[in-house]
Amino acid sequence: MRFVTIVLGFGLWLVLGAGHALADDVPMKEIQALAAHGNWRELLATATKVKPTARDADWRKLVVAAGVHVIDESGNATSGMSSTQDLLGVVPSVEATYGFLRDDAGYLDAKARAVQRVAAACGGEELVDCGAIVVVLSAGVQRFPKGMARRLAELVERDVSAVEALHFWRAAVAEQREACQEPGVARAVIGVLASDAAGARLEEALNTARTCLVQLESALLEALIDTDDGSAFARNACPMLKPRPGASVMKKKKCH
Amino acid sequence: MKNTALVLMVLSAFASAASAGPTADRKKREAVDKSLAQGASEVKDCGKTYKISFDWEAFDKIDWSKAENTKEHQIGSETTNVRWVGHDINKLCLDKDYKGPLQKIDNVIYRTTIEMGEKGEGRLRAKVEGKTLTFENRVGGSTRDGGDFATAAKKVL
Repeated sequence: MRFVTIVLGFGLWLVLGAGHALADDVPMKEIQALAAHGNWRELLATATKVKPTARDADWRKLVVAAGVHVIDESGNATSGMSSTQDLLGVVPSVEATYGFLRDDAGYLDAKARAVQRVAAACGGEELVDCGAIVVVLSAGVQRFPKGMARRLAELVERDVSAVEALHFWRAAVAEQREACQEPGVARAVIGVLASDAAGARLEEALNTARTCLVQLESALLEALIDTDDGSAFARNACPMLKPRPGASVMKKKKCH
Repeated sequence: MKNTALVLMVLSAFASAASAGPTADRKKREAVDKSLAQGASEVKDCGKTYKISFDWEAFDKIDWSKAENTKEHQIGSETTNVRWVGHDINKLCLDKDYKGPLQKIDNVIYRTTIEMGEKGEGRLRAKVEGKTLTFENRVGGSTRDGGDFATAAKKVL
């Protein structure tokens, strides 16, 4: 009982961030001052230092506002693509620190706008890792402006990987079923089904495969032919392929 | 001298026209059939023989103005493509699981097509109708290779 109390107490201490706050507490006033002066990046770097007990209703709003400003400032007409590339180093850590940002509609809108800017600017002479920026900025964004998802999928497949492009192909397919015919859809779905992916990513692949099964069936069968018995791909794809007609010998061999 | 040159030019033009004519076409078709037969001779492990043929009737019905390759170019490619039909049939027979279904097949047809498959099958697709296994190869892309026909057949057997 005593041990449980100690563990719970320690957990609560961690959740409240007491350990961190002990080092250098920052008052809410300082955060508000940073916002007033438009020092958004510094605000994001400092907001965690406000003790949870000292955070008022403005704290979360100010963090969201800072996130939106940092993203909006990047890649605008004056800062160019290099500052957009800078987001690669900023966005993941900021979202890891302030998880609630990914649930904020205003913040996600800002990211969607930034993705649009990246997609429009990529292809120029500036050397930037467009696909990687798109992946980072699109985390949590479920909808893209019409016609944008396909463009993003192509960028991400080119710069990052077929697997990472799945999220964008799924959006493209949701927008227009004809996108199922794009070879990248098959590559993305097969790549994820053949990996150790689980959870949301695997579900996204399975849902895309089910939606596009007619167009993907041949490629999925080909992947099944090439795969080993008991592989992740066989495990993931067989429940979908088994009830379909054809390739009965192959299914008997690979789908146990 | 001038007359000799003129005669040579005329003869040369005649020879060029002849090489692009029916004789050349016939020779190319013979090369395709020979290549197909060469591959068919590799079928040794199926416990039976197959009638393996190239569907020239379908080939001649193709509207080449809609094809990715010219007719002449495609005939050249087919010599390479069909080489692997028999090779892959035998490859399948070496797997006891496929040897069984292949006993029900008597005819193997290779057909050139410009039609897109409805189900994203890729350029080479197979189908089984009764005792006939048909490979349909869509014009364009790279030439077929060993294993391509086996993969296509595995999707339908």
